[in-house]
Amino acid sequence: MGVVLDLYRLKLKVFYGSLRASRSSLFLFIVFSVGMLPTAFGLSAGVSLFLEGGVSLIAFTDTVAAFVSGFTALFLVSTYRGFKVFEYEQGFVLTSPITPVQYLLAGLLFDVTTFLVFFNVLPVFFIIAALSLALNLPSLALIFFSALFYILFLAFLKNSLAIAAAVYDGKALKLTLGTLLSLLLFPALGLFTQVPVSYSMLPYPVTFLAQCILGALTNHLPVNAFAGLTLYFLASLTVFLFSSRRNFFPFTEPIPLMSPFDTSARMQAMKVGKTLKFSSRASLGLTLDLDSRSLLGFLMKKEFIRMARDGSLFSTLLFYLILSMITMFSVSKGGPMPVWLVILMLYSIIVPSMLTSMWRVVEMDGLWIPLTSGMNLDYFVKAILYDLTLIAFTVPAAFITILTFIANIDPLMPLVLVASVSMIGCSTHLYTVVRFLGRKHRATPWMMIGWVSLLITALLLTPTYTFSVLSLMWDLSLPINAGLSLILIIYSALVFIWLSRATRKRALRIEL
Amino acid sequence: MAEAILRLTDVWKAYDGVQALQGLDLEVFRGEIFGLIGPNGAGKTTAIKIVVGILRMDKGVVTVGGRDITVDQYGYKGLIGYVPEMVSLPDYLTIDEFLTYAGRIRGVPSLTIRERMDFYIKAFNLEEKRKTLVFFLSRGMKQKVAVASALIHDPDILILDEPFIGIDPAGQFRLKELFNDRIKDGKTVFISTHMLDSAERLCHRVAIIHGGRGLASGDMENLRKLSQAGADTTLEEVFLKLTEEAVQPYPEEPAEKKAWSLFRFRGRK
Repeated sequence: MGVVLDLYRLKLKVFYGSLRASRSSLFLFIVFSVGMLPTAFGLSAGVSLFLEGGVSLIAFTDTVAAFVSGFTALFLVSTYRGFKVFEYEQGFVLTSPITPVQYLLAGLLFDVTTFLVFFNVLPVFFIIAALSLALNLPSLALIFFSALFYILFLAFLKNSLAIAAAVYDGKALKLTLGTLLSLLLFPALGLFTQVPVSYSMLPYPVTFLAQCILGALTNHLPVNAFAGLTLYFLASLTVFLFSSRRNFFPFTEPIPLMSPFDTSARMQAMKVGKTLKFSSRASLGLTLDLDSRSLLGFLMKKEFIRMARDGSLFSTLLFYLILSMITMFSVSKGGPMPVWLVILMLYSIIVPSMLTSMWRVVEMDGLWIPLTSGMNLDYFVKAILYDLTLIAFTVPAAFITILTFIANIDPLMPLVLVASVSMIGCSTHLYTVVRFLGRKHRATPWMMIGWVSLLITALLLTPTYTFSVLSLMWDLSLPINAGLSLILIIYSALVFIWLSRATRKRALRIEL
Repeated sequence: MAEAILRLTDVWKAYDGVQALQGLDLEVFRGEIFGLIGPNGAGKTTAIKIVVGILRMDKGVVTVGGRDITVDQYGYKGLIGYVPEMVSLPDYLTIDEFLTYAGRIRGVPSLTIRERMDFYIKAFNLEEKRKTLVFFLSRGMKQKVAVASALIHDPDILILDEPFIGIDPAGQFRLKELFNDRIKDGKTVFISTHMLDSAERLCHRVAIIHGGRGLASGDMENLRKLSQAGADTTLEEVFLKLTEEAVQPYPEEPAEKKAWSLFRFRGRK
């Protein structure tokens, strides 16, 4: 057991290591953790309101099962490609006398710890719900053991499937794995389309979990569901014990450290590399030549070429294509326009973050080129900011324009929203990224920086969101809407100009 | 006496309280190949980064072509071409595009960029790869492209941090030829290297630094005298003798840093 705990400690130190490197990393991590708590309070309040309104939670079994199934899909799909280990593990751990069982047990402990760190919202939610709903002891025990059994079931299954895929590579096995995953993930279809199946009637592990949790929240004890979940847990444990006897170390595949606290961003850089391979096969189309007269125009063209080749532009297009399809679906089903606007409000904020973090991943190591060139860094910052903002605005604007004709929606508010989000979002994210560039903050993890940027962006966008909600609630007339839109655009532009200046000043102080 | 193109006077730099440079003095003259050598952690890269303007010194004076780099913070960079130790170039650009970019941000006229680009691409045997994305190049090729980009504006002083790592023998030979061609034109080459045999053959003068301080500098004859070595002593032997003898007293911070440091780190102490 000592070896298992040693390896577990090592895994924790490597994964969370950079948090120890600087106080800012630790601070940002605390902000991240605390920032999740409102979600827990919101969920708890929602459940309490439902129960006070006399709504039966059991009716939501299928919905909860579908959500958990979707999460399970994300968790298990990677097993299809075999057993991945971090490079340091293959180099130092798997070459030591450690056995597969010890390695897997340490991994299991690590997975459960990390799950609790990143999904801390769930235990907090259950604690608040337990207090506000005055749950009895058996109900609390049922929630605890159901959640534990399901998490362990997932972990056992993931490891067993990954070992099988790594050791017994072959079409038959892949087909079996594919079928098993498809069957297991079938309830997730309910998230995207109407399936004429009630999962409550089927013996799915996710259904048992949903029945146990929802039953416990209403102080009911679904004994059959808990027995079913326990059986799944025991079955997965048996498979895990069997597969862990196999020496799968020679069949593992190394990958760079993939941690939100990792500062090297090598994994993201590898993904960019794959995109570059794709874009080199396709015609490059755009080329950076000497035709642009002004330096700013030249640098903007260079940034645009980067976004076209590293996948930034494609990701943005895909993102808004999916949002537009949801809109089309919502409108064709006679759904109200606000549903789509709320989705746009919630998700459009992600695009500036995505674009800026991609710039950081691709350009951070090459910053020595502009910094040692002697050029005026104002041009450098402006070119990046203008391009990011243009892409973050024009792509959704194009989709909104198309939807205006196809789905007959009013384009004013969505356009104002994306204009404001792109101006405030891109300038905030770029400022934060530049603020944390350089050797002093090199140890600050990229995920934490992105998280703080999102929080600041959301705060600065409060007037925009308030306007959007009030306009919908009070059904404001066109002249009032237009006047308020103009004020919002001016406000967003002022924030943009202010942060753009601050970023330029910061850029002068970057040390590498 | 030759004119100094680069001069470092009493340069200090600390990282989180650890002194990387402790009053370093250096002088590099026009028309010479100058080598900066020292053990790991001696402060070579720190000194170079301060000169090229991507790191600020705590104290001291650095002049390039007679210009104080803290006064003329950008203009002096036009005199410098720089290639870092770990070359990282924009993977998403082709060689042609990257050299165009390097030229434009240094304000080189379009026609000149085209001429120099053609010249260096030919000189480094990169003709077949010029339309290839940097991502697909080998480490050695990327190093050559980085050197070409550092020369695109024909700088007075070319500064290279470990230039021979990752380059094949033919490439190294070509690079050394290029350095010699440049000094014939009155330009200067400043290299930091661990390859002492190359430094001995290539450099006119060498400075040995240790613990952020200069131990000795001059041509081979001077260095042998300073180390009290024989006439046939190699640079490697001189280097080992001097660095092993080097006394390392407790690092003393510059006077004006002390008050600030005391205030800043009081909590930690």
